[in-house]
Amino acid sequence: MDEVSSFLLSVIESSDDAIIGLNKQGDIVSCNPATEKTYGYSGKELIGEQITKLSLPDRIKEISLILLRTFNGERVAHFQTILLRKNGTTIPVSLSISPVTDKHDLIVGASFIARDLSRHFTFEKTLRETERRYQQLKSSLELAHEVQETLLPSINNMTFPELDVYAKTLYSEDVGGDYFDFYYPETVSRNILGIAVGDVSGHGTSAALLMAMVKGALQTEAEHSQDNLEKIMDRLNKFFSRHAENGLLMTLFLGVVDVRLRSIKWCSAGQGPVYIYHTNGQCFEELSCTGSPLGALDEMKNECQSSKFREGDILIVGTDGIWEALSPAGEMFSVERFRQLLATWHQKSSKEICTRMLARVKQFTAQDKLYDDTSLMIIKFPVVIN
Amino acid sequence: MNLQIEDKGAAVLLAINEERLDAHNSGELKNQMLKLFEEGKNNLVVDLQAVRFVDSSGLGALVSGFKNASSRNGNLKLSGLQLQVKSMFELTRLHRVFEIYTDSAEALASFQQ
Repeated sequence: MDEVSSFLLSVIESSDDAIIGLNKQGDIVSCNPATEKTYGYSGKELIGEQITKLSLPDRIKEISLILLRTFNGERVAHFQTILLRKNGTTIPVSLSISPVTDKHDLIVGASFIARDLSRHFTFEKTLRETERRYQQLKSSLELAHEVQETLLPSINNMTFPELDVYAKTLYSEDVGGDYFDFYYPETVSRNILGIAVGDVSGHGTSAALLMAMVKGALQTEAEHSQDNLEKIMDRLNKFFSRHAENGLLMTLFLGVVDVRLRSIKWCSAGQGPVYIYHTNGQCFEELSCTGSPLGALDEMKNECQSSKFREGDILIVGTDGIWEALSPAGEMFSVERFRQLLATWHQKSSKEICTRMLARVKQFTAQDKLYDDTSLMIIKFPVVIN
Repeated sequence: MNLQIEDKGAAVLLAINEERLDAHNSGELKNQMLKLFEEGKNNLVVDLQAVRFVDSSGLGALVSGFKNASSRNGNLKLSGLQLQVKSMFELTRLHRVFEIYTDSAEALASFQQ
């Protein structure tokens, strides 16, 4: 045997496909080890037999017809059918059958190559199953997204016409851990608005569940403790520490805006920076944190702080999704850029400031999907008040 | 995550050789610390000298390590905080929770006293 022939033989011997040589009568004259392995016959058992030995009884005609075409010089490729193993089990295959010629170009037989498709079909089945599960998960997440949207209060239902309030959360996934809320400690005074902006570390479903729990707890606590922010924060911290997995934190800003006194008091569990933009002096006042994020310590004392505002001043509470947003080059959006834009837009309505800022962050990242949940609450203080 | 772990006797030194400690790699740090706790190594120094930025997930991982160490009568101390990282700890008031040292040698020495 020359070198080329022995090389070709080695290719055939090592192939995973069953490669069978047929004479013009359709008898098997040679087969490779893959044939023996796949169909369960030894070479001896196959050689001399008709190729239809591997056909299903009701498909014998199919192979015979293909062979007729082959012996007329036609090549049949990727013909999908089912063959039969010695043990009676079936196997899906893709057949490639080509004429074999002698040195005078006369057709003397055929090469019969059967590729086992069972693994391919199992793969396709798994793929379809995975796809189905993904769709299921996706629709339940979409539903969860709708539910979470209803947890965030509707700005249109605000009962504070003296304040220009707007807030928006963009989730990086269908659901997330950012949160904003309003509450009304009405037994204290009708001129008081309670606000909350928070961020559960990480994002996605677990953060969303915690966010929903905190919302429930906050609304209940606010009902009991009214405008006693220290007490509300202390209870929320205990609640969060008890329920959140070790290592999950939630930053939370709680504020109470008194429209009549033109004051704001706040407790901030690691949420920041939070600002009041003083329109008159065109400067930012930072409302400092009063404690660590919820979940960091089992016992945490927050000491309430307070400040005053004037007509036209703006309270700005955002989450780190804004200033920690990354550009494709790895640059951070930064607090400086955030402040610069706020100062530029300070005469615009709260809705416009909010919408523009979130759009700017999205544009900065140049991604369809945000990397982190991103929220912003803007409150412009009373323009007219009696 | 590029994390170098070295047993220094009195404490284990974890040097984080990453520019960012964030949602992408903080899970791994958390797992590595858990592994050490399971081996009974409850005194840790996390050296943040190479780290320029820590996000809330990163803080969460460190807090989780601190809580685990404390509950096992150990401690987790920090060293080598860059200015930006330090201000993140100050902003969130977590600098009051952790013992923070200028460098890892100082933090390790504090365990020997």
